[in-house]
Amino acid sequence: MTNNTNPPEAADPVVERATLEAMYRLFNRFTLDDQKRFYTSASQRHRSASRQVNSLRALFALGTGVASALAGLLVTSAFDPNGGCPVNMAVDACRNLQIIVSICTWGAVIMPSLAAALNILADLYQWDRLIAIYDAALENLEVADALSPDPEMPVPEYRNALQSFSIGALGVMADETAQWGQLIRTPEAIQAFVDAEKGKAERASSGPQPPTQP
Amino acid sequence: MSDQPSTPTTISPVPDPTTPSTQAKKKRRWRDSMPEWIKQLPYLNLPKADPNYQLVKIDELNELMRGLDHHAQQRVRDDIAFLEQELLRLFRQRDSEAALQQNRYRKYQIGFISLATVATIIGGLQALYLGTAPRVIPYLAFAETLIALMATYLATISGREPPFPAWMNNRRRAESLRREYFRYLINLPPYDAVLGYERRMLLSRRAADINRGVFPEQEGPGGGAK
Repeated sequence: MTNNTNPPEAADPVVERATLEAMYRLFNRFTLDDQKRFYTSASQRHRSASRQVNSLRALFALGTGVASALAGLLVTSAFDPNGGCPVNMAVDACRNLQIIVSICTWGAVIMPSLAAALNILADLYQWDRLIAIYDAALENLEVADALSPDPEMPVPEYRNALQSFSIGALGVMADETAQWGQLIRTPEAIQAFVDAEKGKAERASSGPQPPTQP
Repeated sequence: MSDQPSTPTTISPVPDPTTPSTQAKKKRRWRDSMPEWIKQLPYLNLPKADPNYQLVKIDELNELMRGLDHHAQQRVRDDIAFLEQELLRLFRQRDSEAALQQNRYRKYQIGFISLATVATIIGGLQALYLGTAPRVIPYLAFAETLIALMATYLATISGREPPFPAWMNNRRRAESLRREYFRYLINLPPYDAVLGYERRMLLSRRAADINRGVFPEQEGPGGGAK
């Protein structure tokens, strides 16, 4: 680290001091504070999104279980072994029961698919891992902030402190960007789906296959 | 500042007041009242970036500079004016392109997730109706084929000029340009070793290099060369 963050063309010590103070104020406001606000806000937003998606996943899983169990209960207890209504059951009641069983069955098919979709969405956005990155970056920015110059420092010390402070903060920003870049990946489930669907589309495009000889 | 962007500054097109400055226009939309995960879904049409976006807000700068020596103020203002001309326009381009490609990428991915969900539901229904209503099976098979064709179509259009590497490249350059902006303004290495026109030319050269994806070997001590 060099120790010559001299303001260019500032030979006058008073002007140099004022220039260094101007630099500090600028950096503190437009880099450090801005960045801290971003990390805090991003962490809160991602935490909130992650919690909401997780709740929905749990809700769909619960719904799947309840719907399956209810459908099973109704089919075994209310219908006869052939799946028809018992002779002594009213027609309306039988129809209502059939509707309820249908809804439960559809729910048991749809809800796990929605839960799986939310699972892939969470993989796509990587909320939990981003929260960890932003929280760590925020803590590291506080470390950089601890090196900020004190107004009572003489000019040489003020200059050195300003340099350490600003280089530290820029380093945190660079590290965060690098970690973030490594984190973002296309979810494997999406890639697997696309590959499988391409295969199906190719088979469909090749037309109906002739029946095979027995 | 790399999310997302909203990267960073990732460019959430509708930032709340606690987010840092971005190029995005502050405009209220229906999704403002939605749960957070819905707010983060991609836009069908991303709002246009602010063409006059500044990393240093002039009104706040005036407030910060109040009471400081006139020469010191002038020196900072001169640097900001030069940065506007040499670096900020490049940052704006990269930043808005990164936001655009991020939105494109997520749009395609959400499209695939939606198709995969429908395909899974159709598969479940096929299993359900195989024994009870076999006459609907051909229709479900047809729907499944349509899903496969749509997924292939989406994969084909997203394969041309793939958004993911474009997003990453533009975001990396934008963030590097942002750091270079403050490196010059605070006169950090390597700008502390030169004066006058040499210092300005050094910035122009480094900014142009970063913009074309050639990152300085080292951004300086602690600058996180990437």
